[in-house]
Amino acid sequence: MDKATLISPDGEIRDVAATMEELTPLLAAGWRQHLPPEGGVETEAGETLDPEEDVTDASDTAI
Amino acid sequence: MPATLLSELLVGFGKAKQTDLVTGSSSAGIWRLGNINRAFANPRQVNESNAAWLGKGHEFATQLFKSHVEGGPHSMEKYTGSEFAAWLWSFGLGKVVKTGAGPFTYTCAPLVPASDGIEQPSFSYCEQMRPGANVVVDRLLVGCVVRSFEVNIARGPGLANSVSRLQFTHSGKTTEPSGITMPAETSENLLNAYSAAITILGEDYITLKTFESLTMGWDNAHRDGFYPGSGQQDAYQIQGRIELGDRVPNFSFIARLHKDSPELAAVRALTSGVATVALTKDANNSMTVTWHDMAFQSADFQDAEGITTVAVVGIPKYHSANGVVTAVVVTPVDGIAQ
Repeated sequence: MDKATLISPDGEIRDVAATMEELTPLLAAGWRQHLPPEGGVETEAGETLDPEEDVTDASDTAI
Repeated sequence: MPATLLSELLVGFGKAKQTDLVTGSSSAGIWRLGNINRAFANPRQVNESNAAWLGKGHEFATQLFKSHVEGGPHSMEKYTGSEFAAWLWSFGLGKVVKTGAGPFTYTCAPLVPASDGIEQPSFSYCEQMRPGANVVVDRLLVGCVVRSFEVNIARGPGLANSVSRLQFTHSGKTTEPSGITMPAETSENLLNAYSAAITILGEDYITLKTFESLTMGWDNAHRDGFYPGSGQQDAYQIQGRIELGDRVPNFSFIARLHKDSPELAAVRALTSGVATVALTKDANNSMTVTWHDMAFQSADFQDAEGITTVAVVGIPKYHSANGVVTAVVVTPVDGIAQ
């Protein structure tokens, strides 16, 4: 069964079965397909980070 | 005597959506499908005159001024195939989920303005006749958006029993020459009416062999996109946004009348329910359109070459959970409306 990754208007990300029955109520509620940019890295929070970007948390390196 | 045959007309349009309304597609984003549309998409520049101005002593024009580029609507017409159906419902309704790894499944739904906004994806439209040194026509209409469309399924043999028509609004921005290298024509998988499966409010019309014809579609009723700051090309104002108006779904059909025909009773009882229309070539090519809460506005008895029929005008209602309509199209082509 194919899966689709959707994102809600509030930013919630959910993997659902790619069936009309699963997708229809979500699309009608304003969800849309979530496609991270190619090569991008998706965090657990659903944010997509540019692979070229320095993602080091400043707090990790603070002395 | 020089002449250019209409059969030389090459039409390509954006398989992929534009990044924004004013940025045209490159050659890689254009595809070419079988074309039966004989109309040009003329980006008509409009001039205004000073005919009505006072002080000239007559009512005739003495001066012209550049005004704007009319946004159409322009038209397209095609025999319905899985490739074009995926494109049509994706761009026409505005929202699509693509899944699969080939064949690809496109699940299409209307935009939800509160979260999706009121701008559909836009595409480029290219017309060419003898592009190059002996060019007759070579232009790219940038910023085109599906205004309305309909899918027609009719009785009778041949490709014409399954046709899709659409109208699109053009921003007015044009690139000439287009700069597009027209691709080879995409091989299409046509969805002929012989494969139709149609169930409306529980009535399976195909099993009963009573179905005559059907038209279903959608009108996005675009708002005028000329606003202060909308932009210009060659001093003609162009539209800087193409937005949804009050959308109107449409659905009508004709079926043979029989003693148990439920249509008129459904009108009188305000009955509503699911309507499903499907066309299938094979496992890799199909279109299934589900109207989630269909009601009937009217049901009129008619004659069809001596057979009594009932002509129904539907009112697709908004279903509280599922919305108005969902179209699921399976096709071998990747990247449609992406």
